Formats: sequence, structure tokens, C-alpha cells
Amino acid sequence: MKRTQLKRTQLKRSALYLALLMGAAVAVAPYLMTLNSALKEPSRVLTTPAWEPAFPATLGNFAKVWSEYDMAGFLLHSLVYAGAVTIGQVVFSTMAAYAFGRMSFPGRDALFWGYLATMMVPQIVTLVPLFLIMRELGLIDTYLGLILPTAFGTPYGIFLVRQYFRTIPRDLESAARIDGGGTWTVLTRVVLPLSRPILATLATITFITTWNTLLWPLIITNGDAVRVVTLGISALKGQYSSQYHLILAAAALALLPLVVIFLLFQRHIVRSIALTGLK
Amino acid sequence: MAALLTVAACGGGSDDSGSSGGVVTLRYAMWDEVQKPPIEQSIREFEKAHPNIKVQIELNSWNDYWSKLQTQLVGRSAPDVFWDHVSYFPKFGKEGVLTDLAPLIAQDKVDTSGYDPKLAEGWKVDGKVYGLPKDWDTIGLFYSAKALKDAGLTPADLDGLTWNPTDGGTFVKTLRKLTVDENGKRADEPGFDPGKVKQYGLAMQAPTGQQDWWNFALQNGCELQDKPWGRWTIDQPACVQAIQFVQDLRLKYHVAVPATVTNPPNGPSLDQVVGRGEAATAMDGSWMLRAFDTALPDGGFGVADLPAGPVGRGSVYNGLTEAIYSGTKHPKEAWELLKWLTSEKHQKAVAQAGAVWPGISSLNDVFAEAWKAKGVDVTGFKKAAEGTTMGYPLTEAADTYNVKALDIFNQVWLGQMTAQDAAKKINDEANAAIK
Repeated sequence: MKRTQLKRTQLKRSALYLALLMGAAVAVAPYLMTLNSALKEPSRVLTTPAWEPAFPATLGNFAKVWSEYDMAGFLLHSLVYAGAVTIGQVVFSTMAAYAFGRMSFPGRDALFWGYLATMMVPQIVTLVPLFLIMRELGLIDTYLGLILPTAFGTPYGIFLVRQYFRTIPRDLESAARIDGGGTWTVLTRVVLPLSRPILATLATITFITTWNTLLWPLIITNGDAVRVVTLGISALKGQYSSQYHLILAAAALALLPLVVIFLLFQRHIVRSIALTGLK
Repeated sequence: MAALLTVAACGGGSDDSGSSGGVVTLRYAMWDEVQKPPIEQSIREFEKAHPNIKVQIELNSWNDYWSKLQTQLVGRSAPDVFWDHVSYFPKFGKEGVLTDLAPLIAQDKVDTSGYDPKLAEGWKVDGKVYGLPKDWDTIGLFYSAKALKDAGLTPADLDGLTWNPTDGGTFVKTLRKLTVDENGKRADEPGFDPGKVKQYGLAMQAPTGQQDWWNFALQNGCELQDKPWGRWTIDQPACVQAIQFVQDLRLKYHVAVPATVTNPPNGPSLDQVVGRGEAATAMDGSWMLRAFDTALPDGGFGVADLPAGPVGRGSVYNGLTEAIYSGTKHPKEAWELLKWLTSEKHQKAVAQAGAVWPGISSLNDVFAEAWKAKGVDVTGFKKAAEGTTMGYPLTEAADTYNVKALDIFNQVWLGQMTAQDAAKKINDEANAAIK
């Protein structure tokens, strides 16, 4: 009796892990394929099946992309752009989230839901007005023009952090207030230390999203001095001849920083999903 | 769109700087990565000759290019000089965003006789000139040398083929020889399995028709429009037959790569299809030469003429121009740059790099020589340009036509709509969009 039950659990377990493994394989496959193809000779990229191992492997595509295109510059510009937006978002989203989640002022909820409603408007609708505003401010083709629209927090980020703050028991805050702490102290000494996981999640998501943005940089920047990596890769896909060996090498290069960021923060991300306020 | 002030050009000497005495930076926009290096090199020389002008190249891919340019035009901050295409030009001309070059040409006595009149004419409207020819392209039959050899054919066997709407003619006969199933049986052999084809004879892909049925239409005596700037007439029998023929190549004769693979915008480009050995030949434009050169091993491809149809031979013939933004703050310097870009010196340098056929006809041999040195005979494109040709349709309804054509023809190639219904539908909708 017992033994069959044990068997059944084992069988269930195995099936579950098999399903998870398959899911993981589907998720990781495109990245491995990119890397594999980027290591092939240009003439073999298209003539061999994507899964055929790159043998003989070559770093020629990477060398070519690195020397012929300003890849180092593109990556640096993307790093400045995504870094600045991430810092801005974490700082301002936290403040706004605390105000919306924990402080009371007239019209708080109306303001919050109104702000959240702007998520419903497709970016393409506000694109031209935003472009015109930036032109009036003389910020076309500058880092400021790139960064400003998203640096002061986004509805998504504020909503994410606010929901998390609301799970932190009020008693903790009340205790701090009784000890004479002001709002600022409560936020920095009590709430934020408990919110590390969600802040890490927000930082990661913001960095990755900003890193991968194409439309706004395309419209607001013109020259090579502030050209980000997505635009650099997009330009490689000429209308007439897509040089896939170079595109894949460039894409593999653009992927690396994201992998690093994810590895740094992955522990926190898992925790932010798994745990709430108190242990 | 706000009415834009057309900036009057100021007078002629090239040395005295008309701006604030400092250095002027011009923005020059383009979309082809392949052409950038030779152009950049030539522009450095231009800067040496004009110390008061700096040129900043802004390169984005085809799709990005047009969305960006149109946003910039709304924001009145477009590049000073940019590449223009026939499908966008009518709209731009109407909106007044292009500088009329006619007075400048007259004032500097620029000799425009070197450009092929067939290229230059389309850019003139009511005596105004909206651009000078930068390059040209025609459609040819790219072939894989290996696939021909395996079928026991020589490149010469691809010359002089003919097609007709009833049995497909020698064109389909030859494509049958080049179509192989998984058991190695060819389409003209008994036991061939059309459900398990490994290599097709032909690959086609065209979002508008430029690389496929427009050519068959011309070879079948069909006119896409009643006149330039006129109404669409693709529901005429001669046009419907051409559309039907493209569908037949896929669904009746089984000699062309199925639409599930090639339908734009998501299908792989044809250099890849041929490179992977999934097709022996492909109908494509001369701008794809460098792509085929990359996708296939050295000496692995060539270009043959398109087949002839019931009324003879013919190809779509199109070209780009260099244009000046009417809102430029530096009209004089922009004109100097445009003169350089459309000069013999500059176009020769670009042709030598094998990038594109040059706008100035006398330089065609320079481009052909560059490819001959690589072992590829590209003179077929030139023959096509000198023969019966059809320009890109000039119409104010290009946007509507392009969107509808992409969607509806994809359905025809999949066998989900008849050629007659598709032609009528697109014709009605495109004509409705003409004001």
C-alpha cells in the first residue's frame, strides 16, 4: 500500500520535473541558438540548420561587429540610458508608492487611479506630442531627452511597489512613529529595508525594459554620439540585405549585460514573489 | 500636417559661407548599411572641399527610417538631405516637405542629361523637380550554381525561357527539373511526391508585387494604372492572369516555395531560402546582390534574365533619389551636398564598391566590372533596364495599396482567395483612396 503511494508520488514528481525541464528548454533555446549561430562562419549561418553546432567555431563575427561598428559605444550609451532611468525609477517610484499606499491626502485615490489609467494609452499616441515637447526644450539628440520621459517613475513601477508596501504591517510603522520617527525616517529605516526584494525586482525589470527599448530612442536621437544598442542592431538589418551573422553576434553582445544584471538580482526576485511582509 | 514654409534658396557661389560664419552641420539620412562605407568615404572628400560644412550620416533600417522621418517631418526637424522612394514621394510632394530643385538646377546650370530620363521623369510634377537620381534597380532571376549543376543544366539554359497562362511554357518545364522531392525524384520524373519537396525550383517574395507579379503583368500586356497618377486597373484580365500565374507556380505546378514559408513580412529573405538550398532560383531585385554574395559560397550564384511572357520581356525598373527637406535651415549647403551626391565622382565611388547601380547611366559599366571581378555577371539587370520596363506606379494611394496588397495577396498565395476577387478588392479600395 505504502509502496504504491511512494511510487505514485515519485511518478508525479518525475512528470512535473519533465514538464518544467521542457518549459526551461523552450525559454532558453532562442538564446542558445543566437549564441551558437553567432559563432559560425558567415556562409554557414544560413546554409546549416540552426541547431548544428558551430564547428569550426569562429570569433570573427564578434571581431567584425566590434571593429566595424561602434558596438562599444552603443553598449556604453545603453548602459548610461538604462542606468539613469533605473536609478530615477527606483527613487521616485518608492516615494510615490509610499505616498499613494500609506499617506492620506485629499484626492489620493482619484489621483492614483487616474495616473494608473495612463497605462491604457498606447505609447504611439503620445509619441508625437512628447517629441514636440522635447523639441521645444531643445533636448533632441541628447541623453536628457532620452531619459526624462521615464526617469520619474511609471504607473507600472509605482503600482508594483505600492502593492508591496501595503503588505507591510502598519504596526511596524506605528512603533517607529511612537519612537518619534517622521515620515522620512519611517520610509528609509523601516519600510525600505523590508522592501529590498521588490526594489530589486523593479530595478531589474526597469533596466531590462529600458535596455530593450527601440521606439523612443529611434525618434529622439539622430547621431552616433547617443545611439543605443537596439538602434545599432536595427540598423544592421538593412532593408535589402540582412547580414545575419553580424546581427546575431551583436545580439549576443547586447544580451550579456542583461544576463549579468539578472544573476546579480535573481535571488531577490524569487523572494519578492515568494514572501510577503512578515516571516 | 502644418503647411511648411518653403525656403527660398539663396545665390550661387560655393565658397562664401552664407551662415553665421561658423561651420554648418548637415544631417543626411539613409537606410542601407551596405552602402554606408563607400558613401561615408566620399563625403569625407566633400568635407575637405567644403571646410565650412560637416555632414552627419543618420542610418536606420527601412522600417525605422520611414516612421522616424515622418515623425520628424511633423516635428519640423527632418534631416537636411535624405533618400526618397517612389512610394512615399507623392505624399511628400503634396505636403510640401521637399525642396523644388528646378530653380537651383537652372541657376547653377547643372547638367541633368547624364541621368536616365526614365528615372528622372517620375520625380517631376508640374515643372517642379523633387529629387535627382541616386541609383536604380531591376528584377532578375538569381540562381544557385550548385542546384543548376545537380539538375544537369547550365546557366545558358535559363536564357530565353517563356511562360504562358495555360501550361506555364518552358519556364515551368525548367523549374520542374529544378524541383526535387525527399527521395531525389524531380518534378518531371514519375513517382515525384509534391507533398514532400526538398528543393523548389523558384522562390518569390514581394510585399507589393515589385519582385513577382508586376513583372509577369508587364510581360502579359497588363497596365497597373490607366496613366501615371491615375486610377488603378489591376482588375483587367491581363493583370488577373499574371496574379493567377504566381498562384499556379505554387499551388498548381508545385515548383515554387509555398507561401507559408515566403509570405512577407515574416518570411526569410530569398537569399536565405536559396542559401539553405530550399530553392534553386529566386526572382529578386539587383539591390540583393550583396546579400546573395554573403549567403552563398564564392562563385556559388549568378543572375539570369526573367522569362518572357505572351507579349515579350519586361521588368519593373525603379530608382531612389536624393532629396532636400524644404524646412532645412541651410538650403545653400544642402544643395552643395546634393550636387556632390548626384555627381559623377561620388556615384562612381559607390558603384566601384558594388553597392548599387548608379543614377548616372554612363557609370553602369563601373558597377558591372566590380561584380565581374567577383565572378558574377550582372549585366542582365542592365539589359532589363534597357528593354521593356515598368516604373513603380505613381499614385497618391500608395499607403492604401501597400497595406491592402500585403494582406490580400498573401491570402491568394495561400490559396484562400481567387486572383479575380483579390484584384477587384484591392483595385476598388486603392481607387477609393484617391482624392
